[in-house]
Amino acid sequence: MSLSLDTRKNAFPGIKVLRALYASRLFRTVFTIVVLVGIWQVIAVLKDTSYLVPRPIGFDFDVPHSSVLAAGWHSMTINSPTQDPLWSHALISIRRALIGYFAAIAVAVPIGMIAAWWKAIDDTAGSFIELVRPIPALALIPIAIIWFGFGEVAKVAIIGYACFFSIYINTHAGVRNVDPLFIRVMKVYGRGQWDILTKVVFYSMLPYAFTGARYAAAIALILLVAVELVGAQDGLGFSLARAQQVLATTEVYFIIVLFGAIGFVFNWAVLFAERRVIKWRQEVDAQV
Amino acid sequence: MATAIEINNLTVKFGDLVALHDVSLTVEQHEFVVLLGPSGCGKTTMLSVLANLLTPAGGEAKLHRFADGGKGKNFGYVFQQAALLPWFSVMKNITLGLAAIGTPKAEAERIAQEYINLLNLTGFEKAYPHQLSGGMQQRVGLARALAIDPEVLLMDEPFGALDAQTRVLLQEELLRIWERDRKTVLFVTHSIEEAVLLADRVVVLTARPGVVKAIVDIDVPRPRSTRDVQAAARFAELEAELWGLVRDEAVKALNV
Repeated sequence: MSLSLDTRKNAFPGIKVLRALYASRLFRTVFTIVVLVGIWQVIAVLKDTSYLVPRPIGFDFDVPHSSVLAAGWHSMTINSPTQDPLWSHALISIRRALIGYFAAIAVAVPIGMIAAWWKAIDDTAGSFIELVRPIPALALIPIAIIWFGFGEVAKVAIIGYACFFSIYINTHAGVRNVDPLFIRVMKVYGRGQWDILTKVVFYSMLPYAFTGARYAAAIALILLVAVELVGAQDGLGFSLARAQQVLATTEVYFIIVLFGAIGFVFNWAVLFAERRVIKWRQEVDAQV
Repeated sequence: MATAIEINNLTVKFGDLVALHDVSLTVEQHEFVVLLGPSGCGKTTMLSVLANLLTPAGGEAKLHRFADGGKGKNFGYVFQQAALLPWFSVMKNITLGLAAIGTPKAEAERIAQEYINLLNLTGFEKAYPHQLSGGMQQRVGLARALAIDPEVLLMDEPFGALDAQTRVLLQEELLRIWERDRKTVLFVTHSIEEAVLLADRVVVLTARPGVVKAIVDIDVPRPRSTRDVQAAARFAELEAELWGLVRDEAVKALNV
């Protein structure tokens, strides 16, 4: 055992560096991205069908169709009276998603708590929510447009509506999973309903609500794209549709990657908030 | 001496299951009474009724009040597990009961600090429960019960979940604190050794349905410590006597 270890140590001096790199989580992530983009680049160069699979990397920034990177540079820095740069569309989209998302949290958490806590409300309002939940939110886009027109309200409402359910369901489950022991503790020490709700139920359901909020972050982006593809004059979804219509494949790819990046940051932000808020939990470390 | 706890013909049922049947018991003020019996004999049930967590099917269980006319709770409760709220610090867990009896925040924290020091928890005021060992968690549970300065302490196998060494240390700590003002205690356990070490009187309950089988006076002088008590010849006799009473019931409980 020790013999083989020694030979490995002597065999290749760079092995220590490689091991240190392998142990670094950042390196693992970056390495994966580099490999995947590399494969994409190789395929694109070999096939040379830029309108189907454009090259991801290329430094001919004056020609937007030469690579996804160039298209990104071009669309972000565009400076013309007829067309806004892509980042301004991105901001509009992010704003829509966030308003809908936070509105959903503000509504779903209290309703989820109330419905899970009081049987009468669960049997009435809760049942109604379960009844409409299976309807895909996408199917409600036409109704939202009929009700609210093509303005911001319809878009935000659809996003918020779709986000509502995952937060609601998880909050509801969280309340139902409160340890009865803690409720006994509160009763024994003379605390009433309100204290039980705010000092026990609320905290026990928080981790569940955060799980729901992470799902909802992904759902918000899906619905964002949908509402902007269907009826918008601005935003990333609108830019995506327009790029496709003029066969600007590189820009299409760039916007898709941008959506991915926004989703990644969104998810990370929710995780970050969760770690900040829920400090009392003992976390289990993943295997190295 | 005045009566602190009065239980008259108490019967508790869970559906068709009779947990306690016609139990009567009186505990005097400043008395340390241990309820001893096999698991499932209704020891915890009796505490729950006293703490108003359960409504009995018959009879009554009363806690008498002495000092104040009765704002807030006159009993402290120590649970089997420490039962600390994981999202609150040690300090906030201990002040939990104080706020309910109307103690202002600053005053509550001063009192809590006193009990934190008394139970050797100094420096852990801001720690979360998961950062503490099992023994420390249960000390916080004890501090929470003591902080409201209750007439009566109800203790439900408070050291049952601890390892043997921690258990001995906490038993001695409890004795040390109890000697200060000799609060009335009703203490549930299934450990005969613990019962003899702590109690003035041991109430032996039968297997389900719980009925008072015998009451044994523990005539071992106080203040006691684990080592003194174990060395005393009287200790062995009492242990043997209690084991004789409990054994049949434990066998019955196993075969249910």
